[in-house]
Amino acid sequence: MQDFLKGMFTDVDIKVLVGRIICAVLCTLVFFLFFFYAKKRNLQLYTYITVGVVVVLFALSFLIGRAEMGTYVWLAYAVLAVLGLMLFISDINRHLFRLSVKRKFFRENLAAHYGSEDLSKSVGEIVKSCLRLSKTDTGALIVIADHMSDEILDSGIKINSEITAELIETLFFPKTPLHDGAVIISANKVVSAGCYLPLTQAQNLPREFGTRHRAAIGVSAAFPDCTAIVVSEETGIISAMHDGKTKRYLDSRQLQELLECAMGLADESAEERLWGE
Amino acid sequence: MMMKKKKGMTLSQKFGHFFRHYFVLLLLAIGCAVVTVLLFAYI
Repeated sequence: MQDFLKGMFTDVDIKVLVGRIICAVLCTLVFFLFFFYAKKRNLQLYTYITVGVVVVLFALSFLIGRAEMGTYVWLAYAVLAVLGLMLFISDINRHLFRLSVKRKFFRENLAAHYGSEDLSKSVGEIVKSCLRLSKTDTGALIVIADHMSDEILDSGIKINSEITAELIETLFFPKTPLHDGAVIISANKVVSAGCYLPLTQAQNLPREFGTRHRAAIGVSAAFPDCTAIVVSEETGIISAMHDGKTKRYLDSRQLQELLECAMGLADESAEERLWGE
Repeated sequence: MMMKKKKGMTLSQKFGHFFRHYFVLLLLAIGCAVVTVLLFAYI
């Protein structure tokens, strides 16, 4: 073993050494990524298992011999990699989406295209409509998104209209064809109404959460940059969902703050204060 | 009127915060990576 370790650094070609250093850096990144998500998801057991397997394989390889252990080493690493991907693929997906340049470009374009006065007016209209819908116990689901998938937009009816409280209230008026789906607001416009959203499969939700709330949590988890506002049909309670997180019993001031964040009027620190990191 | 410019922690502050929180994980990842490279060089 000592001879092998000495040989790793003395009798080796410089190209091979550089290759190994690059491999070590890449492996560090991959391991760190998995350990990071394991900590975030409170799945530290994955970290302990990975470290344990790596150490045991290393020890066994030197004790038993390279010919016998080769296949098992490959197999163990493949299992660890597949397990890590299965557990954390949704988190990796979400973070990649969040980091995507597209979102930044969109916000800059939005800022350049619409003034903060127009955006504030739209926020006011949404707040007004939500409060009125809440008073009359009318169910509503409004999604404010920088970027929404075409699949969801196409599931409803295209509106492309200015945001007004009257329009939103009309869209959620009971017994009308569009009242059951979600209204999507994007680029300071009511883009689409009556849209179908992906439902969350989470089991640990309050009993009073119905399909509308599940859809709001589902879409906010699938598209972390969007904020969904739900008005309960049974209780009139206004809730907001963002990045899979839920805030309930919102009053007009809280709702306004959340909407300002969603529309890009507030800074990042306000977003962190409202929703956490 | 233009929109407010986004504020918050500076990049170095964010990095420092991240590094403090995940230092142990980084050490574990480096350890595992070095052992992995040695292992695959050996087999």
